[in-house]
Amino acid sequence: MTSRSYTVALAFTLLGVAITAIGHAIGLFVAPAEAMMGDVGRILYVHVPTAWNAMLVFLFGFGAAVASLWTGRRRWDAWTTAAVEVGTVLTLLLLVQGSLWAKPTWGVYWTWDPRLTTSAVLGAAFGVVLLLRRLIDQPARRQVATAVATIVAFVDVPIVYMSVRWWNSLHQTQSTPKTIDKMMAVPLWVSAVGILVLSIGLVIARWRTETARLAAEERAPDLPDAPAPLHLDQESR
Amino acid sequence: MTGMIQGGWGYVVAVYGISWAVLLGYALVALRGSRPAALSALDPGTDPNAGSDA
Repeated sequence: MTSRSYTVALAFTLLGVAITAIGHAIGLFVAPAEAMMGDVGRILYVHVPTAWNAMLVFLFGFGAAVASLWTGRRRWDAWTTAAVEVGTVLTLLLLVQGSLWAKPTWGVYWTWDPRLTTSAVLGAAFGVVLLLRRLIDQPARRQVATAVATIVAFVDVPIVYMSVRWWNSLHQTQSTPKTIDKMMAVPLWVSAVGILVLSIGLVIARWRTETARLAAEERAPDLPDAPAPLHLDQESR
Repeated sequence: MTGMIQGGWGYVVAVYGISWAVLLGYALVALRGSRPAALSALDPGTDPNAGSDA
């Protein structure tokens, strides 16, 4: 483990924060109010990039899980864990953002709409992956269980993305460059790039910690055998 | 523009405030936990200034 990867994580994180701040500033103070949602539409400049990047981070986690199962190498287990943790944080955040956006636009904080329900399932599924990791002590079993659970949980990612097309949903379908004004597209994409760069920094930082934790676990001496039970026979009494 | 939702800045401020608090807080925890000194304490067998990420 080198200090170089820490410098990379720090640089990505700081750069991501700076780019995101610029994107949000444009979205809050330069972009026009949305025709129907008014100023509430500005929430989309943080909500949509958070959702995109949660899916991207989970996609990376899925790839790392496949590599972890395929190679059995510890470093892929650490990458899987780091991606699942960062993706879960982003998913929980986007659920809160979405609820606060839904109240003024739909009149409720939460409804069992297909997009909302599948997104909640996504957060819960990856939360279970992290919980599962804490419950298994044996490193090899834990690595396989983490990888398999991550692959299973990832099945929900395309379902979340397509839910607004497959089912009758309150949530709007995906916008395209043709349906969005340039003054709205710029803050959306700048914020998306910012959160992506930030997410890369966070995944690297978490990978470093998890790698060191796994290495320490591997180096830890085995516990001594339990002492043999006392057998008191007649002669020793 | 009839039908536009009026107001709503309170929700906007809440969403951006919560988002920045969570992202910055999590970044702080992740970066502090991955500092070379923190990793040396976690795993004394590692050299924080070693030459490769093997």
